[in-house]
Amino acid sequence: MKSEEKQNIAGSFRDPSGFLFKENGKIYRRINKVYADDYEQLMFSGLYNKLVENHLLIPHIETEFKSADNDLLYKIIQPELVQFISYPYEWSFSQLKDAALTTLNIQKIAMEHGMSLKDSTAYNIQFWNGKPVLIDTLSFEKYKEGEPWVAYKQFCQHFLLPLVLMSYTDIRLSQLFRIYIDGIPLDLGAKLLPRKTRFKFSIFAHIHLHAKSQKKYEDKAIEKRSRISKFKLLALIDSLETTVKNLKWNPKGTEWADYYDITNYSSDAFKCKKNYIEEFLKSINPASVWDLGANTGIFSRIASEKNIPTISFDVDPAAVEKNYQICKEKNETNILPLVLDLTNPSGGIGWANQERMSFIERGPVDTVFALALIHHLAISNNLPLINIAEFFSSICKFLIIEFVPKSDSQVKKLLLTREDIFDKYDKENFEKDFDNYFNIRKYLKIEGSERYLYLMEKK
Amino acid sequence: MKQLKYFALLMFFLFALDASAYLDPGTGSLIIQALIAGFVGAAFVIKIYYKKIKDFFANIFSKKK
Repeated sequence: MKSEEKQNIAGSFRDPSGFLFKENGKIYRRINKVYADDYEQLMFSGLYNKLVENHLLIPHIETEFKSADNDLLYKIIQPELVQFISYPYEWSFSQLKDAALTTLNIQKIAMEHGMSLKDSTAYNIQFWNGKPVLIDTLSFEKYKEGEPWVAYKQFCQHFLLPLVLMSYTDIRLSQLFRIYIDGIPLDLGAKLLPRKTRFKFSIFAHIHLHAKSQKKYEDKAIEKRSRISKFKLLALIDSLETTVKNLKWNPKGTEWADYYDITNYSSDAFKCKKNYIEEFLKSINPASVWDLGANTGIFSRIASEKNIPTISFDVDPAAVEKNYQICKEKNETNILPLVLDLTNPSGGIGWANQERMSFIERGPVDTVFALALIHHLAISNNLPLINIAEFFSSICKFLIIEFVPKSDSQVKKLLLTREDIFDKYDKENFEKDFDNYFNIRKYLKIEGSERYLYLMEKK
Repeated sequence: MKQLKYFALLMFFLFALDASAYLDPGTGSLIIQALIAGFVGAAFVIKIYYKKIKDFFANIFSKKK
């Protein structure tokens, strides 16, 4: 028996069926008696096994627990740990699309087993071993023939509309998720969509008409719920699935999607940089890596191919999209590409700023890669080197960082359109400022370039 | 203590009533859902039969091979 000295997890307060809490670094989910019937149906109808076998639901084990309020407590379960929690505003187009299709697939399988999803928030999906899975075991309720899908509105706000906006209007509109925690409001989304979407039946119906219907029946109670047969409900799910499947976004024209083709890296310098990273990794053998400014993840894969769980961040949604496509093609399980603007990383949002964790809260990580990144922070974003050093020291133990001097063509390009006010941007000052927070363990000149690669350890 | 028990019982029933409906499905969303489901239901029938016919012929041809 364990005692319940626990810390509740802020994002899971909405559902009275239970909640998540953390104890000794492990995550547990409490199930209240009110959810007992639904839980039994999930476990004994074959639904749980089918979903887990198909990598659609996070597996769990039941544990014994001594609780202070046993009257309401039904069970405590321990789900498998998701290494890194990510959010829909950090996903590329195909990641959100796969999360949407996973949700619909789960709903179809649930209906075959007499159950239905009672919510369909994008936050319930996480990338686990490279694939999207549902992490909320308590998302199911018994399905009653004739009942509508209560999570339909949420699905449209969390998945369909964001995908349609990213596909038809602008990929950057996924960032609206950072403002609207319960998905993008349909009326707002409908205004942002081009006229041609009104001539596509499914988008017209699920978004434009849906938004109008919400407006019309705003603040009106339901007098009599209209019945929807199981067949019609399956048709609705099929319609959503077809609509999502048909949505496409092809990255082109964004700044870095073809970055590797246009840099002044010679293939020798590229190989040299790869070899040095291999060498550094061998000497520190990290438990986890965050590659900041990873582009399509070429260097992230040096770590992930050594079975080191690696998060591959980049500001460019096109680079992240390409990175994710590579992960899917190669069936990679140790790498997760995510969209992140390091100059304005994801903050804590939701109730009390705690429902969704900030980027920093999800750290620290063992090792950070900051390759070909420093000039973007110091010159494009005017960040003093000392501030960059302090920030990195707050998120990692080891730092593999590349210094790109002013003589490098990429830095020259950044300075083309602006006055050079960066007197202190040189190798000596870089080493001096980083020395306040890190011990420089080793540094090497990248042959065939002006750049240096450093291995640093936090003081 | 008695009050606490009463409170716990009250919460239990409140939650019991609420358990399957903690999410507001929205009146407008329910109405449009029923409407769209009715509409796409007809198309779904055609889709299923079309698939059945396609599978039937695919089976025949694969058997012939």
